[in-house]
Amino acid sequence: MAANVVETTGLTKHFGEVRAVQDLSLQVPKGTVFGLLGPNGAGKTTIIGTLLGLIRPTAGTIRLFGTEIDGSTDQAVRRIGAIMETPAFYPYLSGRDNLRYFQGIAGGDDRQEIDHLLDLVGLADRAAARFNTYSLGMKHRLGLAYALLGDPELLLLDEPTNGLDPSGMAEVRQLLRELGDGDRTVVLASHLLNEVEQVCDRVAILSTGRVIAEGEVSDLIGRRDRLRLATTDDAVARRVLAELEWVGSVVDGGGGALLVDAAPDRAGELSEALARVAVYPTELQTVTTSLEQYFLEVTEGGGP
Amino acid sequence: MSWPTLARWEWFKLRGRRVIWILLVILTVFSSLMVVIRYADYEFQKDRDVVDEIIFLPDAPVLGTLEVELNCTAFLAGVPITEVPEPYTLDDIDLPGTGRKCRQEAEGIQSRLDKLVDAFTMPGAVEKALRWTGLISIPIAAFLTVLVVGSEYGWGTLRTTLMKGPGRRRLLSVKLGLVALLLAGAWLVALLLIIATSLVTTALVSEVSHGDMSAAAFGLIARDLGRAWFAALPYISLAALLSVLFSRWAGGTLAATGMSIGYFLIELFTVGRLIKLFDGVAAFRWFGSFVEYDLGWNTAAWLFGRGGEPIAGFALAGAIGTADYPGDVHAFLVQLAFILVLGAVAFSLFQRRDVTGPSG
Repeated sequence: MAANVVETTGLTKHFGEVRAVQDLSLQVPKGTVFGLLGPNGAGKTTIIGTLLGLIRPTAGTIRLFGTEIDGSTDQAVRRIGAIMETPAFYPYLSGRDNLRYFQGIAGGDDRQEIDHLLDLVGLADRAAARFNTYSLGMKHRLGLAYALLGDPELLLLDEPTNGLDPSGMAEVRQLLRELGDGDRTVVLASHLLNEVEQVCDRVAILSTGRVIAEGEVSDLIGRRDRLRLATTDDAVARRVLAELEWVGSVVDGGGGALLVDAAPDRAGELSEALARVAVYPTELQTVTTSLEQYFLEVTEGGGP
Repeated sequence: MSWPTLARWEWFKLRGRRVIWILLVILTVFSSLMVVIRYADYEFQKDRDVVDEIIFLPDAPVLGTLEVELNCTAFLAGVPITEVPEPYTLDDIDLPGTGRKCRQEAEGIQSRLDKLVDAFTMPGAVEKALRWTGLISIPIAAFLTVLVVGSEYGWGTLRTTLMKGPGRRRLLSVKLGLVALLLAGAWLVALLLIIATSLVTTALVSEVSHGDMSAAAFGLIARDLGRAWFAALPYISLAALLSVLFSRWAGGTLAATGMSIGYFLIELFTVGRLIKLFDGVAAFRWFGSFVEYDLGWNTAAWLFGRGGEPIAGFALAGAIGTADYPGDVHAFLVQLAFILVLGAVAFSLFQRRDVTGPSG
């Protein structure tokens, strides 16, 4: 198993009465694209802030690259590229000079890298313009170039597509997928479910500062795949299904069918159990739950 | 990341800020202007007739004393008085008394002209201009500090900067060090401008010449330069502290600027007057001890306390004649204590505070 690049244990942050993050234990394995998914106010930005040493945790421990952070995060932060919310740069400097400054204070001085990054994020033509003349989308692109300075091992991206138009979003997501290939680890905090679904391998779903579900994106979606079942006698079918321990809830699926909370690969066993009491399926198919449905279920219900 | 490298990149960033250059130009131009003003004053005063209100009759029997404006320059040059307001006659004039009064007046004006000459010729021009510029440099240094430290909070760039790992303590040290260096650089430019202005203005006046231009005199100039620079350092610490303290407010930068400059101005305009007001009042005897350790009072002592010219009009020195400035060592130690204590609190807050967003 790959080593964890980020590991938190019991991470807690209170701002006065506000409990922004509560007892967060998280592991982000090396080389994954990890999503922090949650509505606004779920604690995503606070978590990234604590990882970067910008916010002091109230309690808990943080390990970055296998080393516990005790006090200064400066050494670890140099291996991290990050964007937090709307990127802030010096308004009177050009995009290129902003990147040169941040590259410089991180210990680098490579103009070729800056040209490459400006090209990568589509800002080469406006590199000489002052930052305060940039549109919101351009600011985000510059933020992405800033995060990629020094080819970091870990990317912490907080809402990186905020303010981008749909084509810009698609480009950035494609770029994030490419960045996540290989050994680089990406942590993507977002409230956009489809973004996380498209980009991330693993996801932790947050609500009011707590992780309420975590796992592989495909598992979380797959875990909620259900069977749509119509039978010759639904009443008897409900009784039979209630006795099967591997069947969860059975609810009305509309159109005279039932929605059965059971793994799709048990469809055969389910048919066999019904056939034993002379009830036969007239319709049996897998219904795939989107991450969005799952997210709404767990955030509204407080857990999976 | 080494300190010089971080300083290099901070400078790379700061040099693009027009407002910083404007402040430094104000400082240097002001220093030169102090010499020009003295020169212009001298040119204006030197050929003016000495005119005074002369009391003709110290003990007039009917109308009482009468004051009449008299051209002393002409009178002392031997031009007789020919007209006297009625009902007086020429015999009523106290000629010896009038002569004494006119001579006193002429001596006073000559003394004033000598001071003006000293203030625009070398090396006196440097000493006088540096003192006044030292006073002006304080709000400029405070404003510069707020621009360099406080703006980072206002723009949200502190977070973007810290995310590249320069280290909080090192970053603040480099920023404050750079402000102090910028100020020192401006002082050097100001010194050259003062010298150049002094050379030009002195060359324009045929009857005056430069004073002592020995190495010792230039040694004193270097000392004065160092003093003027040092006087601004406590206010850099103060402005840094206020910038960090108010970082969480939306208008934090404005508040820090206002309070650091306001603190300086309030002291400037109140402490001297309060010393005068409380002088001899038993209930306020403690105030005398308090101002011994007051920053503004010690800064004034540091800049003006060496038998310097009277700072008439400036309330900070409003107590001249009723209170003594603290000694040099005392003033130095008090300023140093302010630099260290305010700086330590600023660093501690900067190190510990969460940086949660654009406002810090």
